[in-house]
Amino acid sequence: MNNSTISAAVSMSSLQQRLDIIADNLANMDTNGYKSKKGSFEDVLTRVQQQSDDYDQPGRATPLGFNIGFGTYVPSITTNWEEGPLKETGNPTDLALQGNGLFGVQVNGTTAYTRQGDFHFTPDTTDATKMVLVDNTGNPVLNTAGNPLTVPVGVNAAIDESGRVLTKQSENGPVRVAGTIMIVEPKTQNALKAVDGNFYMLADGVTVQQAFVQRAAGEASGIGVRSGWLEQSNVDMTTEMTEMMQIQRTYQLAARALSSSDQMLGLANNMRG
Amino acid sequence: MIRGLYTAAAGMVAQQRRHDTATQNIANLNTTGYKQVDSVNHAFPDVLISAMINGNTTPVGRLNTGVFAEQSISQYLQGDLRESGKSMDFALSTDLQVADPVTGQNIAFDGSGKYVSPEGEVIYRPQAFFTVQDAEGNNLFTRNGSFTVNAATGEVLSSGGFKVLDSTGKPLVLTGNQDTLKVDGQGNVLNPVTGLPTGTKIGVSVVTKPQELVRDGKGVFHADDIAAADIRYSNATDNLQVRQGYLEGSNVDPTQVTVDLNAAYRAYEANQKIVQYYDSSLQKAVTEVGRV
Repeated sequence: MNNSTISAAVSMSSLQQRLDIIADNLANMDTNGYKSKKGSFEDVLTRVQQQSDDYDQPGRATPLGFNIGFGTYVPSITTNWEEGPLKETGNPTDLALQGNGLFGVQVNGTTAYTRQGDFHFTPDTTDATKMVLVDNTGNPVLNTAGNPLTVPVGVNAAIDESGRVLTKQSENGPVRVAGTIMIVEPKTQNALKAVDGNFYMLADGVTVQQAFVQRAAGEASGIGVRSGWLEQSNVDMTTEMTEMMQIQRTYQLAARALSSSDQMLGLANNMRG
Repeated sequence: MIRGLYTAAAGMVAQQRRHDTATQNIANLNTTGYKQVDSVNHAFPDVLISAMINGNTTPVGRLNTGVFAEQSISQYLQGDLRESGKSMDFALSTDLQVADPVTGQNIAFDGSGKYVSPEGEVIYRPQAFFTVQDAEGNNLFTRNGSFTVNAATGEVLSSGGFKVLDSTGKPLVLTGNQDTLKVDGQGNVLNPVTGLPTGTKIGVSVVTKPQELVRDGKGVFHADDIAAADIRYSNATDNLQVRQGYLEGSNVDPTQVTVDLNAAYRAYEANQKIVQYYDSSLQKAVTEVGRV
């Protein structure tokens, strides 16, 4: 296969990957707390074909060697952490985060993080006197100590702006703090990697100290918890459709180049009758 | 064999190269910071044809014996800036000037960044790049400013995985909160609270002779001969701007590239026809003229 064919084929498959990312985003337009993904392009490692000194003709500007490229590839898929719009639900255990933070939940024994805050209380299977705060798939939400957050059975619970769970036994009883929800603040945008189920985990080789801002107790973090609200997906339909159109046109051009190079090969084949 | 057969074959190879280059440009219509490549053809040296009549040679004239793809030149025109809104995305907006030593005025480069002086000397417009370093410690240059911070070490990495350098030549390290990062137009990292430069500056290199750069792929260029390329770090007098939150698009013009593709294909086809004609001439010579 000649260079044009390889280059066009490689770039068409990388465009296909970009289209897959867009389809993923559009499918998650209604998922609460979803952060859209974005792929970037790089040109594939090129080969500099060696040229002998005879190619050094007068009027030549560049060093010896002819550059040959082989298309593009998608080196990384990054997450767009822009905040999505908030929708009021009125359910006091539905939480939305404003600011650069994520909730900590326990998934299959390990700590995962998410922006999706549609939590509710469910009876604790290990302790009949307690209720556990869980997410919509039953994973317990963690408190700042790293344990599932529990409240006594039969209390009225409310969650304040800093994530503290306040409980009242009766209408006029004293307000007690049952715990504080774990909220982490990532320092950089690639400290976390996306995993199934709209969760994020620490990227490979990164520790908790490196990934998250360590704040002293009482220090303002700029993150607010809104009770009764849910954060919607931050996928912007306009951006995704525009990008899809661009990719489709580029795909068309690449296919045109592929068929052009195929016809050239046909010409070479048919030279001899 | 007939001389023209090899001329036509050389033409086919050269047009194939031109087609390959056009395909490479099409493939990179959306690549951030990509610079269009153009293939330049050069004619083989002419030969002097003489006719031998009655033992006397009389010169007939010059005959060209073919064409070859001599070099692939990168066009360093400024790509369009697109706002991405991310604090770690940077774009370079450059319009570097060179003073003509004779007149003292700035040289007026043409649309492709080239100027031919009255004496015939060709000067190209200097270009600015972000400086990155590969694993062997070689300095590479790129226009793709889509950077990420390694969460473990704080080192800034480019999209191809290379370490971004600061203005002193050491790997750039950012330890603060990424969301509040502020960089001014010269590349100085500013303190988010006071707005004053912290002393760290993104390493922007100015390459005075950009035609000496060799393309590596993965969005980077390298200089085989650093002295010949005349590379230095940018200073405050250079007419360039580092724009935070923007990305530079590819500078490939889709119309021009598609026309190049078609032109290369048709020229290939024309050369192929010539080869076929020579082939049928030879066939005549073999089957009819030389028939026993």
